[in-house]
Amino acid sequence: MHAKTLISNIFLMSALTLFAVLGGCGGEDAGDPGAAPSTGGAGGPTATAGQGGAQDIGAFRAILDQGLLPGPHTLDDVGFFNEHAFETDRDPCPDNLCVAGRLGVQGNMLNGGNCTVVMVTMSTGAVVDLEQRPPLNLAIAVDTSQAMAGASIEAVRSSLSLMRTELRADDRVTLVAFDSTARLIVDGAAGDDPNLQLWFDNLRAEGKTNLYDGLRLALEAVERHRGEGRTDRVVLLSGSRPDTGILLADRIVRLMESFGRQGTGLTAIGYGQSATLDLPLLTRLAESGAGNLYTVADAQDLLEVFTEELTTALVPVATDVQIAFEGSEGYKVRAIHGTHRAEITDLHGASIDIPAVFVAHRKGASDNANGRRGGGGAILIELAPSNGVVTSDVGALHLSWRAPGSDAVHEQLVEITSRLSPGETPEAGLFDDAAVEKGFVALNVYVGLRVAAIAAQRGDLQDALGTLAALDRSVTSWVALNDDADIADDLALVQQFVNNLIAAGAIAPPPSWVVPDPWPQD
Amino acid sequence: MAAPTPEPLTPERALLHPAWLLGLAVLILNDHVLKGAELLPAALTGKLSDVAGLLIAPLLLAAVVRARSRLSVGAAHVAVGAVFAALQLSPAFAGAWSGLFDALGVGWVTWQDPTDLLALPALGLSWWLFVPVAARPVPTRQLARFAQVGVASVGVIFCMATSPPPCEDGDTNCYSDDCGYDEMRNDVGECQPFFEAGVYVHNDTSEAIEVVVRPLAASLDCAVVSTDPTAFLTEPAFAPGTTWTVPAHTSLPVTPADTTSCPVALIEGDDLPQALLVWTNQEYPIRRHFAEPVVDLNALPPGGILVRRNPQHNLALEQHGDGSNILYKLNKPAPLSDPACVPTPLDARIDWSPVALTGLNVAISEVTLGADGCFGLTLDPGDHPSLPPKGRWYVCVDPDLFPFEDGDIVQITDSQAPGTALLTVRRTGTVDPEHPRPYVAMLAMRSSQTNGLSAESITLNPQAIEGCGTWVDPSCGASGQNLSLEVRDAFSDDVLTLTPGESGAITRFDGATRDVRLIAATRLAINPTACLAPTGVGVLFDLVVLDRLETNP
Repeated sequence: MHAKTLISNIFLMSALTLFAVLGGCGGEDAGDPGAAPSTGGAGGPTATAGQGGAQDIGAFRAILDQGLLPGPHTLDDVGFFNEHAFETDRDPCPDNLCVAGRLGVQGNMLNGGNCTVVMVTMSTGAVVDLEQRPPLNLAIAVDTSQAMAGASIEAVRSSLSLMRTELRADDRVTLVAFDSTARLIVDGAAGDDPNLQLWFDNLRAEGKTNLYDGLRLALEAVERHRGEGRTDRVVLLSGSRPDTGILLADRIVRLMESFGRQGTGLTAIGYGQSATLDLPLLTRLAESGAGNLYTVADAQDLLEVFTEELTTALVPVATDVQIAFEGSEGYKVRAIHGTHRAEITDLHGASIDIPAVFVAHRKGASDNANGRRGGGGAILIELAPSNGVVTSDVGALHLSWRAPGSDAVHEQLVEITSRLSPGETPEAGLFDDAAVEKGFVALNVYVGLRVAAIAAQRGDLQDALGTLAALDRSVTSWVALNDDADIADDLALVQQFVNNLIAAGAIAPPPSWVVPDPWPQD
Repeated sequence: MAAPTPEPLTPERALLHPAWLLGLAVLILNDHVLKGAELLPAALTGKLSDVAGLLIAPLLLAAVVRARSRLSVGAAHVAVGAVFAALQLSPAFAGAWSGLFDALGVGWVTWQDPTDLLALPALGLSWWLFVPVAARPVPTRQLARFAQVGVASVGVIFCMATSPPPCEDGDTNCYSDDCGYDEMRNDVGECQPFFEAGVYVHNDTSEAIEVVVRPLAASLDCAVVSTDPTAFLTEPAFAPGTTWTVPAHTSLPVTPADTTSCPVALIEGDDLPQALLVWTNQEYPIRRHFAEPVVDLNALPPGGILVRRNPQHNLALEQHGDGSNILYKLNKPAPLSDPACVPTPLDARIDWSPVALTGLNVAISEVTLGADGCFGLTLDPGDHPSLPPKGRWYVCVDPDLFPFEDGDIVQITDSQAPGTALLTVRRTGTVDPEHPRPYVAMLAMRSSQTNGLSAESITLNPQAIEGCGTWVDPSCGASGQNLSLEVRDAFSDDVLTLTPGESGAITRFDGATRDVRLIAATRLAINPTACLAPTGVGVLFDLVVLDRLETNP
């Protein structure tokens, strides 16, 4: 698990792994600083691509640490999987974006019933120069409502002032202030414009929170100043829930998605207490812009976030990304985990719609403690086998995308097959590689934790404990044979939850206790 | 020779007798410490106060009325005994007695219990112990006199304030006669714990069962929902709930989220069929129910849902008693085929940003339509230094209903009142006077008025749509029924009745036309907060009116 070193925050994963070492090892086809990313070419290094925009499970962990029982709403599958590194085989990707599908089949780790998953991974052959970040086309939308009055707006002013040192002459900066209405304070000024300081200093806080107008004004400004090799980014700083103007969350998110498809990234910053923020909205916005979500509490944290954002450029490598899965007659789609952008379209099919996929690269070579920031995440399609159907076809993944600024659609088809019949469940399991096996285990842990959290929420501590006791046994056995820090950490979470349930009065069930089927029969 | 006059009695002397003081102490201790503390059996604490009271009350009464003869002191004993007996045997007397003290501003309530008469011999003990003391010579020391008065005062206070006020219906912070906290007497006089509920689930099996009680997590229009609860109430509208283990033959209160209007709850369990409970507080008021096992169902009050084993040995639910139906089965909502009955998607409804340049003539430029269905306009009031700077403004409306373009000069007003928001945009000219455009005004209205609305000479009255069933949003449980809107204009004889999505035209007396589009009209009956924009329940409608003239007015 990556350590939250910076601040008390919710980290969203950037779209693409930032393995700084990758870009450095590649070296070839680096292109000019700020140029559009070029493909790595055959045999070139391939970065893992992700669909970005998800939170971790910090809230879930914090509640367990306090000895309490977390509710299911604190456990997000995208955030959970983003805390796991999945080292997939490096299939060469000759293009900006490629997709792969890996099959895993085994009895589930709760009650042994068949569990069949397809793990979807994305990769890119794009290579960007790590030494020089591309110039920025940056719009900062700052909440200047009454909620930000006092120390908060002062913190924003000083953070912006200090952030100026990271700006360059070829950057373009827009500043939008939003309270009851939204105002364009600075429109596309050069990064070294001395007047920036004056405009930052004049920010004042009063009035209500009109987030829609602020965001849209910032997005329109980015669109006006698009081009010349700049990367387009909006940083949205919100200190309170929107309470005036256009409030419908779906509308606000759709607005961001439309700009996201054009390659504009968004980073959302929630400043202050979580209870005063609309975190679900900020999360969805960040997902739409394949950026990060931070929650920060003071000026120092805010400065670090601004600095981090300026030294981390998000370069879009593909837009309008669609991944469709069509299962064969032998498999039905039961659920999709690890993304909020998926939809089950029919009995055998699902689709995933991602506005844009980005490469994130940083000035420094250092990543976070375990090199995992931006590296986690997986999409797992859970399949229900149709018993009695004999086929080796599992299904097919179809990928389509556009290059940024281009109308040409690129496509890729990947077929997935199995030597097992649908529903056949080998005791040792069948996994295409270690990554999908790990994904399988992680999925089982996630489902078990979620089932337990739901049971605990309604006061059924016994059910919760019974489920986790079974999971504990299975995962302990797996960890004993497989050295994986992420799953070991998951096991610690399970055991912590068990201890909290017992402290709350649950009594350990007998080994013969039957775990309710978390995957009901279709 | 005449018989010697007996020495007068001084009952006050008895108030300092150790036995009298002990009786007073026992009375105070029992009423204010021992009762409810479960240190002594309830039957003992129940009688102890009676004995102590009958022991000390006669001499206290005699002291207060300054009885001086054996006859009068004896009468005090008889009076105390008579009143005590009457209070235990006669509810009418007890009621009158309480009323007398209420009139004096002192609370006194008693509970009839004939077994308390067993304490009457304490009167005899009082006579035997204290009359000889009262016959002794009066002390001259003032200190003793003060002590007597002081003790008498204390005795009066604690004799009359013997217990906390009785339990009123629904009150839980009280004693039930001399039973403990949250206990009341059953019909054989035993104190038993109780709970309070209007509706409850009773486990009529011989084993413990699990019951999950799920309260409603939404605002609710009681008048609408009560007409057909199963049409409006679906599972997503209920919170996850709490799991209870209910022992055999015991009852579980069903506590709704909102006890003020029409209470509803969902019950379910691992082996229990899911059931919807809907009732009224008038028919099923909060009552007390014994928390101990009850096997005789005749002892159960109305409002119970029995859990029993059916012949197939499955758990089944059955309502107890003859009251109005409480028990319903959750239905899956039936899809609506008529588009007029389907709710308008939230993102198709009108919306707009606050108007900073309200009332000014502003020039429109840079009109853009976003992917979210909202127009962005740059509004420029001009370069005069007294005018505010230009700015962007956003309005979400169907493009067919937005007739404004680059180069228009408009006036925008935005008025907000509780339950109504009215946006007016009028074209008052064009930037290029060489190319005028006809007058047009857009009137956009969002309202939650049940009884109609009148604005800009238009009167609107919502009405039910015949044949329209209930719509339910399956993702969150919001539900309601669509409405039609009757539209009248003060300057026209035309009357339009529009269903959601329909348009019509009104021709005014001056020849001008008003195109009217009803975007949404619904009566929201269930509104989970997680589901819709922050509105309550009731009538919601969105309307757009376009006024057109061939020439500017």
